[in-house]
Amino acid sequence: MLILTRRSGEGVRIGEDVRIVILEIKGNQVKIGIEAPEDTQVHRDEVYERIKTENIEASTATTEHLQRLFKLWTEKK
Amino acid sequence: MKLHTSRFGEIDIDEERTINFPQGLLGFSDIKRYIILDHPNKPDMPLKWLQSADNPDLAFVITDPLMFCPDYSPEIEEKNLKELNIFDSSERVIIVIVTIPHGEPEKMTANLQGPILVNLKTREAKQVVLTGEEYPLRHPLLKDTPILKS
Repeated sequence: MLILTRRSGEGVRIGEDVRIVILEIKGNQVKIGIEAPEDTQVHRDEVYERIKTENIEASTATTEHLQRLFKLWTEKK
Repeated sequence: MKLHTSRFGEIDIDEERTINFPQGLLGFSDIKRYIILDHPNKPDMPLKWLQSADNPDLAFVITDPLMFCPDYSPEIEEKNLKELNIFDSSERVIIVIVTIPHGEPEKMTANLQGPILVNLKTREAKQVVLTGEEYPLRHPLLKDTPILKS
């Protein structure tokens, strides 16, 4: 991981197309501005990770799992 | 085009019916093309499969969230609508990925925090990450399901 120290108003450039600027620092919160091409996805790290992990978990479903569910479902009726 | 899938055996992929994800799904960014399949012999069930047209072993259970949560109305950021060229809510549909805990299928949940936005006309789609805490990552589907009650 590249570690830099920046002050309010300073920025970081990633590659040709991405720019990150520290807009404001208040206590332990930092307001960050991000300039990136429209099709570049920018996500809050923890939310991204959670959805990615959930996707991976979901991808392990088999037709047997769903079959078992349908069986349970129709039995309950 | 034929694909030999691990779950459904050999299937025929109709190119005109593939759904294209320019950015793939989160965690699967290299996989761009999918098709939607009914569960074998269960065309009437609201749970279906999003099968990768590129990777025969990759598939997800999906559903129309409104079947289980009629009040689900996520606020989709303008940027996402623009990216998919969606100008009207009639041009779009939202589907969600379902996670089925192995061994406890009745505890299945839908990811309401990362729904999939689909442009019905162009068949382009994107998994959207909702900002805000309104909808959960794992919403249990079977608690108050109208289908169960009937």
